[in-house]
Amino acid sequence: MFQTDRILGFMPVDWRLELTRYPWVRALLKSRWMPFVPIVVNLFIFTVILMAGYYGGTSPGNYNFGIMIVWIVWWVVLMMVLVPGGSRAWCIGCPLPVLGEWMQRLTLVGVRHNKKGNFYLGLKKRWPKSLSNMWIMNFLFLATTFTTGFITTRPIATFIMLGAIIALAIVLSMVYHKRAFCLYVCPVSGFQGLYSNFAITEVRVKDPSICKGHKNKGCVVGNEQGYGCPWMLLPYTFKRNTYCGMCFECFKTCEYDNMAFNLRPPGTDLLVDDNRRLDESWKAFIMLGISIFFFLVMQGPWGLLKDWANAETWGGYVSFIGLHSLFNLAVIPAVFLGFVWWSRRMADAREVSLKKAYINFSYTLVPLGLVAWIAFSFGILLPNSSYVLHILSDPFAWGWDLFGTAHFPWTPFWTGAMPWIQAACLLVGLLLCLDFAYKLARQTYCGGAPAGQEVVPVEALAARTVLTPEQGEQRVQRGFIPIALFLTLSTAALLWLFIG
Amino acid sequence: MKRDFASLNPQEALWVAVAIEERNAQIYENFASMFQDYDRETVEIFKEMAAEEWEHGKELESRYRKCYGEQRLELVPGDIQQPMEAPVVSEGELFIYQGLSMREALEVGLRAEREARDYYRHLAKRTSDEELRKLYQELADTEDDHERRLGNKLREHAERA
Amino acid sequence: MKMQWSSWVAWILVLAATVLTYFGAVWYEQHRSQQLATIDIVTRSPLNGNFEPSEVSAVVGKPLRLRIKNAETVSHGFAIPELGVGIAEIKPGQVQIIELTPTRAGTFVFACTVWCSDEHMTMKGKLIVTEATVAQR
Repeated sequence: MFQTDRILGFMPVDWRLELTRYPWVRALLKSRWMPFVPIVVNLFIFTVILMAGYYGGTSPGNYNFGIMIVWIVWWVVLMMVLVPGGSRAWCIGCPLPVLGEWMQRLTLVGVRHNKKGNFYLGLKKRWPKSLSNMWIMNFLFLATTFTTGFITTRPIATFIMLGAIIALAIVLSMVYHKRAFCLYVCPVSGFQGLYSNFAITEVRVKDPSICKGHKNKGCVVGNEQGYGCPWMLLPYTFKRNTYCGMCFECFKTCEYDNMAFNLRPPGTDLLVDDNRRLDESWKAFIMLGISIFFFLVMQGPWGLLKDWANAETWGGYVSFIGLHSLFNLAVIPAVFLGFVWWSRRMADAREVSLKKAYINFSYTLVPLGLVAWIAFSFGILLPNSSYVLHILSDPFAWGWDLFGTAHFPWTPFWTGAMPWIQAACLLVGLLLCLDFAYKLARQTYCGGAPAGQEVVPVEALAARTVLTPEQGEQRVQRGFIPIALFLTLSTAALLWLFIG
Repeated sequence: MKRDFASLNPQEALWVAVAIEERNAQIYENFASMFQDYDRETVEIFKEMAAEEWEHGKELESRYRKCYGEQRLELVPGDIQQPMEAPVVSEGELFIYQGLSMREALEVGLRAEREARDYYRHLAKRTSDEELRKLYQELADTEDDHERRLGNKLREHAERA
Repeated sequence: MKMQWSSWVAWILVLAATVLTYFGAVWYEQHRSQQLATIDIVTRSPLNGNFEPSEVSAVVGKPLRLRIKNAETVSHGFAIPELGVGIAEIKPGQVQIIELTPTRAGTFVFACTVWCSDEHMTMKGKLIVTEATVAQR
């Protein structure tokens, strides 16, 4: 374990299986019906969700299609399957921004292109530079969780929230360019983006030299076959998944058929030292913190917290918001800072800025946060998934029985094994975190030099001597210990929460 | 196998110089269209640079015809080993963080102009043809001027940011 | 601009997924309600509204569907003892259906059959059954 080029000691970091080598996969991704068809399917589901939310009113949500599909099915599938397996796979068919995008393009599935380029309706303003980061998404997602007592239990609250997001997406599409809503505002987009660094799939170019010699970047500016990257990226330079929305537009526009959809080992993007930033670090803190707070409120034994989250009293609700925010925005980042400071001291790496070390190591929280959410999702799935059979037959609580399952009784399953399943997730997550922490320690303190090579410390002072391989390795090991301790203690805390 | 540009004869060197100017002009035009929806000022810079590259290209082409007629060579810039890389914008998340956009674009242009200037100075030293030497020196001076202007814009941008 | 066949197909799919779904669901429910007279009753604890409506009307010999929805976070029940119909438990958020055909006129009390609150004993309503008029026969 802890090899530079292998994950958990056996998965080569640079292993790839190109799925688009199979003609049917390539044909699927190059077709303009992809992702239109998944979008239409989701539009249908969303229509039913919105109807169920509206007609459900303030009734409890367990027998409501909207509540069940959004907060049980979708959330669980997102965390357990879509993000770790498909990167931003949800974004492929997300119905939230599509109405705005169709209005921009004035077409559903075709391409409007003329001599000046792709056609877009709207003001096409530039997103403000100061807001061109993840901070809005961080705060919006956190703010959304303030309403967790309502939106996950009252159908009308889910209706209002989803309706507001769709309306906002439409307005932003008419004011700003392309997928500004997805890139800078959508609460779901932020954490998907960060956690997609851990995913086992990616979109990359097949042969970079083709792009180098190729002048007209159709993937960026668009052509008759498709639109320039709606996510405002340069597809020919992708190094990580964070902002690629998996719309596959670049597959359609690339005149050299040079885009590939690959299977890869988990977490490879976490090792890409490119554009790592504080807003992404805070996203990692917030996601970890929310998973803990959600467990405490929803699955913990403390009724007082439930009352607070449900706004039984104003004082309680304000306390909930305050504690929740403080924990996520200040406590976790501050504690982590302490461990990173200690790591830097142990490694004797004064030439590495504390900020750089802090940001680099914050990416070790991605696997930790993801497995915490997966463990939490088991706590939703196993007790509650039987409700899904009911709501499929009677989505609007009108007494229907479309598929004969409307009277299926509430049936929790495997709940006895749930703590062990959750514990297993957390322990596997810990192993992954430790592995990536060691690799990131090597990157931070030895400039990424593999074991056995001489090390010139990153940003070394002019008079600094070159470290021997042994000295480099010792530096990495010493710097790794405090981070490993933080990760282990965090996992232990999560284990105590989940299994008692 | 790539050839060392020191091995090029004057005809080949002039042929490659024409191709480089045309290639860079097309690339700058492409940059202009890439930035079209994001940064008007950067678009104008690249359009200007593209226009100048086209002009240089035409000038070199006319000198080539004067010296060598309509003879065509099977030689492209990619065949030459020395660093005359095509200007490439490689910052993948460029447009998302718009603070980087103009800087990255200007730096790409700056690198390309520096390489072109060094290339022409080298050619000026090697050639025995007085007229060609004068042309290469003029082109080197023009690329020098481009580099200075881009450097000034980069400094202005850094001060404003 | 002349639309291509793909655009037509795309529009049909989008409209089917959205507008048609909405109107289709509403039409189906109205059709069901027309086939069998449906009365919606919402159950809440007495302090939160009791049965709503607390009085419902029916006609002798006419089939009737009572659609009882529990809008609270505690379980309720429902029974009309004199007519021998009831539901043991309506869970929070759940909808239960009783279909019956009253065979005699009168005022029949319906009540909650699950201890739901301190005021449980006052959680009652009335089903008023009248003889069919000549027009209704």
